[in-house]
Amino acid sequence: MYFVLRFCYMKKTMLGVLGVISVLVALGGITSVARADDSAPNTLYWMKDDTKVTCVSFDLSEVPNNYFLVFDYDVETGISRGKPWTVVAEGKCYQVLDETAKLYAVEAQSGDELEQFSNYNAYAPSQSVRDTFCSPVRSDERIDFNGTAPCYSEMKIQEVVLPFTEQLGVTFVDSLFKTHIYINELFPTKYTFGAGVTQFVASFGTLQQKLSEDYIFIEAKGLHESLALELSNALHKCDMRVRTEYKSLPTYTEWRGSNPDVPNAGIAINSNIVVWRLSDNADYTIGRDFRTLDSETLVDKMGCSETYHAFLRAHQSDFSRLDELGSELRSKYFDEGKLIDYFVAPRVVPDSTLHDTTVIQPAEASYTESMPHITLEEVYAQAQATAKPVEYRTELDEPTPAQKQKYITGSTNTALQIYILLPLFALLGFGLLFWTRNRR
Amino acid sequence: MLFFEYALLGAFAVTIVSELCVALIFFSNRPDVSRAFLIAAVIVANAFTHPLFVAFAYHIYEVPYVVVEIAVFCVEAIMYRILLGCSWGTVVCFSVIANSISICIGYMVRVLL
Repeated sequence: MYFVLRFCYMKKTMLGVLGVISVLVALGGITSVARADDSAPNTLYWMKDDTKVTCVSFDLSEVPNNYFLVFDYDVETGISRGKPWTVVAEGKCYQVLDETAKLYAVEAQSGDELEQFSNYNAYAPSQSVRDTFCSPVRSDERIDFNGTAPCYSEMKIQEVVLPFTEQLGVTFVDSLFKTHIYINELFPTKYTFGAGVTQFVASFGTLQQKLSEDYIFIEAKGLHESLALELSNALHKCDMRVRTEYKSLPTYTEWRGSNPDVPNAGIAINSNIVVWRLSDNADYTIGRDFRTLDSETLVDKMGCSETYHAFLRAHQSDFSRLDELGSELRSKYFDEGKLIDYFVAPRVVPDSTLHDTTVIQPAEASYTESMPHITLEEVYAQAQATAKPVEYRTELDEPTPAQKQKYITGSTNTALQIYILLPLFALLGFGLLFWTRNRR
Repeated sequence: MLFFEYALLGAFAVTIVSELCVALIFFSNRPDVSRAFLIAAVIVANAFTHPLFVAFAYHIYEVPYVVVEIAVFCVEAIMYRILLGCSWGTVVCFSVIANSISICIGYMVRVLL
């Protein structure tokens, strides 16, 4: 149970506790089912797994002293913790349930901003920083340089884009609940499928229209999606991750807006490190700015190498069929030139230098060796070099028992100081009542 | 007042009020138990167990919740037995009902707020 619930449920009784827990578990189960149903088969994304924790932590060393950061929980997390947001502290990792969680940088101007944000009991847990402190944004309002709406407030509050949030209209690089594993890197096919299969695109004009009605493309898309979904489900079962952490470095930057004589300044996040915590409590750095390890290595680190190779062996004929379909499509739409590459392209694998890329000609590709230019030993050596345990560990923002004890015993609140001494007073009262009763 | 102080003292207040209400109803047909004495007994019992419950369950020793809850039932039942002079069955029944209701009310208050 969370800190707040612990305080507020307080006493007692197993029946009550079990009843409440049963209701929560039932609600959780229903919610999970609903979410699963909402997830359409998709080859780019992995379905959200509610058993894994996704959180974001912040290295505050680059944040000036006159700024503090406020992590605005998504509504569900806010309600469960009993507070709508929290002032960011070093060494804490803030859990994210969906992409509505926000980060704000607040400049301490009058001196009481921190107190206002820290006075959590003055706000409902479902409130948000924007609704509480910012004036409503007009529909014709400009968007900040970082893609967020400005916050007009008596205080200087600026929304900071979190590392995992995505911007519409931009090719997806990564997403919040992804494993950072790409289907195209795991399928040992001669061709990779892009727009319409593994990437979302708004429109690719007439060719997209033609392909959407082409039975060859429809078959390839369907086969690709069903294989991706099967692999995704298989990997869920062997996934040893318990937590994915986005370690971020917020920095103070200055930029010039429309008026070059009036420089603006604020906090931006310019570097991220993604860390997986596995079930054996080992941390692995997956990448700075999202990824440095290839998908097959990540599958191995996840604990799914055996499952993955069994999947490959079981679907060799399907991959052959995908290649046939890819070859047919490229021949059929040869006249479209480079445009067809957006939909079906010859596989590109990293060169042994790990910097350049090499296009594998379809005739040279082999199902038995999906990465012909890098040996397995080299892949493992690369993994060893990059996937080192992280030295600085963070904990979820649940207060530790020691912190809680310090909160209570170190409080300057008179009422709480009396509360601490209550058992002693109660013993005296008990003796007095017992004496009174015996006298009657 | 900081958030955790508000939450802790608020929870204590909710517990006292809810258990007092239950006690006044539960012992309404017991003329041998005076109301003033009953109110004092409930306050004393909860003032003794509530801070210790918080300390043991969450802050100092991290004893499992259910274990601490059982301990609270037992301690409160013993205190009521000594102070009110009722039978064991009566005080255990009262302790279970009062504590069950207090935790349910606490949960509802939390949800409503």
